[in-house]
Amino acid sequence: MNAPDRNFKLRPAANKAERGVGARTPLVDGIEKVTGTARYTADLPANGALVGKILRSPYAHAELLEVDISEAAALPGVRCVITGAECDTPYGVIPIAQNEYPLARERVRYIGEPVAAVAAVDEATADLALSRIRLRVRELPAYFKAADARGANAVLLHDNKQGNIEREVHNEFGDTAAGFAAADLVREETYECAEVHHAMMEPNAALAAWDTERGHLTLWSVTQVPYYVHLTLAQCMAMDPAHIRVIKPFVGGGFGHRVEPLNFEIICGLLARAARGTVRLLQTREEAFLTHRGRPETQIRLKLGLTRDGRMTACQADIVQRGGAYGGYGLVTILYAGALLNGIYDLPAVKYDGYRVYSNTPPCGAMRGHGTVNSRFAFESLLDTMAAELNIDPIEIRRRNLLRAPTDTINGLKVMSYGLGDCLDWVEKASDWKQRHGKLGAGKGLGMACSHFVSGSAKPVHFTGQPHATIALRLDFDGAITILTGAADIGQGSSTIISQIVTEVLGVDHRRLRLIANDSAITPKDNGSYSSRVTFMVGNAAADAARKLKAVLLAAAARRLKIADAEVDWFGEGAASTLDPDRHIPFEEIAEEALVGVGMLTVNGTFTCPIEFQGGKQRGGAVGSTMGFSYAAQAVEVSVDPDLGKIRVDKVWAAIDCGFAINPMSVEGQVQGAIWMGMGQAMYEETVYENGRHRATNMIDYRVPTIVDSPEIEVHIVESMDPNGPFGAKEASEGPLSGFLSALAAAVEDATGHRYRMLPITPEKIFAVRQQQIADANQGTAL
Amino acid sequence: MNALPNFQYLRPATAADALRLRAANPTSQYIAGGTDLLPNLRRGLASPAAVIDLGAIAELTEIAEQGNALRIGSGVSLARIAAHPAVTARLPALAQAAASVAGPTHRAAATLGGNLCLDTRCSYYNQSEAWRAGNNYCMKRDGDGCRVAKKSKRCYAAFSGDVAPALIALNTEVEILGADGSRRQPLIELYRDDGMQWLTLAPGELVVAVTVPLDDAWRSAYEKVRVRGAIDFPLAGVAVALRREGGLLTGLRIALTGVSSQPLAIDGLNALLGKPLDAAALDAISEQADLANRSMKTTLVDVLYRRGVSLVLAKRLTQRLWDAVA
Amino acid sequence: MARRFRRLPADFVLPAGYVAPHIFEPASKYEMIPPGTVGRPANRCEGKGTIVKSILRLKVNGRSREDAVAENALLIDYLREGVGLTGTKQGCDGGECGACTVLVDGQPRLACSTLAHSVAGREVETVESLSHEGNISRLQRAFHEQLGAQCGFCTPGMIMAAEGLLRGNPAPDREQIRAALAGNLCRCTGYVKIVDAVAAAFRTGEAAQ
Repeated sequence: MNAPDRNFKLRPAANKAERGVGARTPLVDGIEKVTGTARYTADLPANGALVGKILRSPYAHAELLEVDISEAAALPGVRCVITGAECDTPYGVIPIAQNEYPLARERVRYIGEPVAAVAAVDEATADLALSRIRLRVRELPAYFKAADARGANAVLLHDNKQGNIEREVHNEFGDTAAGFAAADLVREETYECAEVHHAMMEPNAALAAWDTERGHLTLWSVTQVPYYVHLTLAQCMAMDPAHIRVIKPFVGGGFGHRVEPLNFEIICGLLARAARGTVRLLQTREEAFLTHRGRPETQIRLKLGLTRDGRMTACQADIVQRGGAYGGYGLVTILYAGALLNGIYDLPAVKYDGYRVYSNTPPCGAMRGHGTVNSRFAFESLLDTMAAELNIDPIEIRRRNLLRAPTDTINGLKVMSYGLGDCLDWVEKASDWKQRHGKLGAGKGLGMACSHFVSGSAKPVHFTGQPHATIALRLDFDGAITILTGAADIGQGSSTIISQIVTEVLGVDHRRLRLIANDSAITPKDNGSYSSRVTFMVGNAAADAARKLKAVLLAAAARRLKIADAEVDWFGEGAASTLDPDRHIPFEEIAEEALVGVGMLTVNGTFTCPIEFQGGKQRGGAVGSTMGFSYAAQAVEVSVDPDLGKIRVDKVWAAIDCGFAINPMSVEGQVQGAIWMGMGQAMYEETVYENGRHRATNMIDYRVPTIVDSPEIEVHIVESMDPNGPFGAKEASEGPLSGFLSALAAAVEDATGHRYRMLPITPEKIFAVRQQQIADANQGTAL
Repeated sequence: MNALPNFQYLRPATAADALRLRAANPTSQYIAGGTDLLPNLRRGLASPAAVIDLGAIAELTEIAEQGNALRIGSGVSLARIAAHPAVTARLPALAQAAASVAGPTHRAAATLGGNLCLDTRCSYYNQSEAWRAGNNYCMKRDGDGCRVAKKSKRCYAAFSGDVAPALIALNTEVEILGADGSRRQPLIELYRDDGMQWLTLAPGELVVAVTVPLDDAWRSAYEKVRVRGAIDFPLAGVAVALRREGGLLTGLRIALTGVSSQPLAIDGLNALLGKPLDAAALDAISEQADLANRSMKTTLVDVLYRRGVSLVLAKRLTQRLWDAVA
Repeated sequence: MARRFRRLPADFVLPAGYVAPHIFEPASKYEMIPPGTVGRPANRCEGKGTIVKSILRLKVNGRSREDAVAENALLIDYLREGVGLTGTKQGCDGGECGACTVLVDGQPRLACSTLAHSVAGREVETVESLSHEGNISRLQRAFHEQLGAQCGFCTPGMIMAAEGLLRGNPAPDREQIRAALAGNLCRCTGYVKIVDAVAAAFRTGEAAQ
């Protein structure tokens, strides 16, 4: 369905272009996207489908005494009304932290939590039914700030979590006390980051078809993790997973919103079963904001020790995240926030205390740069401040703290490839840093920062004993090679990367390949598109599959040519004898030979992270473990109009060490998108709750930057050739985000003399600081 | 996704027919470009039994120079106004205001009349039905009381049109067609300080056109403050029209938007006339603009900011125009 | 039919001095909330009029059509549900993101903020119309080859807004491209490659001439 199954006519120039690794290949499913033929969930044919709608709680925290659906259910045209009674099994993406029901039971914990759902013949009837549902509740104290939720007498959101602390993390690697004692300069600062939301362009949607005769369910959804959705449907609907089929059509972005099973997907399945039919559940933009799973509001107290010459001696971080009402990915977020202070610089000691707090706001979750972004903002900001005190250039101080690969960090993370130094060199040169930093004059500024991210978590969420990634290649009578993958392409281009790898290994014409993704009835299980795991893990699995298929084909060619395997000269679309190049056969004949006696061929390629990469033995050591970190450095140039409080980002120079660019164009696009998303968080975006009610649930008040606010972003690729990545590749799309925040703050400081430690740096904040500066100056003159 | 209420669609060919249809359908509403009204209807902010589309009325879409004035029909799109040679050359404030509304695709559909009559905005009002229901609605729609000022008996929703302040600064008259025929009045009199009843139009009355003097002795400019460079409504918008003769200021009109339930003309500027524009004059402008400002917590952006930047803009634009003549 | 849930423990007490943040008056807290207080008010759901359909005549992607269309139908719903042209996307709750941009008589319009009947007698073009005799348009090719589309959801609206620009201004510079696309949000690309794509498309057009 979402496979690029059309042979489009290429222009001669493009026809000649290489389609293997390293090529600037367009997306394999790009034609569908530009022609409007790509079918997203809301575009799927749904003739006769019932309209599903969700009633959401208007209460931030209340005991749910009664949900009276009798009047709604009796309306003509209403096929079913369901409530929390429909499902008494909690779910959650982390097996040890499942405390959310698709429809609230006993209690509602945030405004917007689903309470009931209807399936009706049309939208008006569904709306009418929702309006006839009566709630009887007893309101409870509600907490909208982490500090309030942690209050001494606070009512617990979840009975088993004392102090409303979802997860506390305390660890120390290295000897921080000794490190601070050895430092010549120790500084401590507080940083605050507002909560942000993914705001992917496609609103949420699901389509569920219930087959009453067989008791089977088929669900199409906008997910990044069809496998987890599949497991969750089975769990919440008490079904055999064998009776469920999950299909991911084209998906309009995710950025982490869709990396966990979401309530509307399960509700859609429950509605279809209750209505004994097909239900289409289209969500509004507002509902996406309420479903949320974004980056939490975070307070960071950070302490850093430096020697006189700028070497890091120790770091201490105290981080509090307002996590929202349910677990979700929360415990991972708070763990990452501390663990990924490591892995980028040579940092000998880190002490970390993290608190993930429950609150009566929509649940937070994973968002691009999961866990690291706000910590990185604080770290890079404080490093700048201290560098200035030591009179060391910001780029230079980072250079003095570089790692040398291969190495193990103090918390047992393995750094196998490391191109941050080259990134710094390029950024320094491209931005003409030495000539321009601090010298641009009033209202103009230049700032920089570094960042990194994992290429997939080496520890899987579920310990199944299965490989981390599996790819199947299928070859049949027609000579076409079909790539079957469960990796969810949500726009980041994973299907293209997989296709390039298979093309490269097999050496075949790329048009011989087709890719079918994300249909649980057809494609192998994949854990999903999160933590930047796909290029690294699925890419390795794809290479493995292609090598295995190539071996089979090579053997077949040898048989047909009646020579030994070692004498086969393989050139992709055919093979020849190395002894006698005139004896050659085309791919069709090789394929024909390969199928003799066995029929259709399917080979599996897999990838599993070796155990030594799954983190050290010490407590907290497995957190953040990965086989490869991406590294990025960037410089940001701004103009500031302090009287109106307006920042304009004039230009960004970014260098990314992604190991090897399997698709340089795609890497550029990912880096540009990541940096730009960082810009949104740094300058405009924040959720706004008033008594728990989200006031910015639209694209006017939640301000995603427009094209006229957005700078040109120049991208340079550094290839450090990771020893374990597919062809040396690592991730490229999350790491560059977090550097922007501090780079912007540094640029604004360069322009205005003020360092902002609260995000976003909005016009009103700049304006207020300006007013204060003017007042102070007047005070000075008066004296 | 958000179903529109059921309504009848009417499409008159003349303004007179529009008025007749409006009179015959008491709960009907006029619609022009629809860029603001339709999103509002989807949120349940109105439930007309009929909508009367003004888009087919040719007489409303004319722009014509009439002597020393430009008459612009209320059905003219903002894109057309922003690109019209007479407007860009001689009425820069109007061109800048029209070009700063929302995004280019909105402006291709949105009309002069629609922007002049734009519904007032408030972050407690421009929300979905479920949102407002959970917040117990408010007096502007379905409820009681004001969510911005708890004890207020009035509604503070903010007028957020960009074109009105520019036209007010340009001394514009508006032409209104009612049951008793057509009348003309200064544009500022179209408005009143009430978030619920912000227009002085009688039921069924229709804004037909505006007439803007073309007086090249006056220089003008409009600028709005918003967080992003497009799409956003003004947090504050300022229009200035200024006449300078030699070293003396001989005419000055300043109008604000986004900071009250109506567009505001700044009073007390006449005292500055006949003198050069100096620092004291700029301070006086700032003071008067501050006095007029009625920013309330109708947006997520701080009131102090909206108030403050409107003063900055008033001074900045005045200075810029003053300098440009020299 | 009413469904009851287990309450909090019997000994549960609210903290002293606690005032509920919710604005419903305390008196109503243990009362049944009347119908319509949650979600759309009941009286509004039934509509004040009845559903009226009338014949809509227009051109969609070069073909004349006559359809019975509800008078309150939005253009986007007519195109997607009525005609089956799902290339035009709904990305927000109305007029905020530009994903639904189509051309009406060659001018970009937001299909989500346009009544279907208001374009009677006019020519509507959607992204599906741009390919010609099986060949994708120069803009579509440029968006494809320059990676102007990542997830692709904003792409149809983006391409139609750009198409409107190129018809009026065949050789825009980067600032003009940005200005013309200012109402179209994209969450993937950071816009750089979108500007690249439109610039490449106009250069392709030049070469073809």
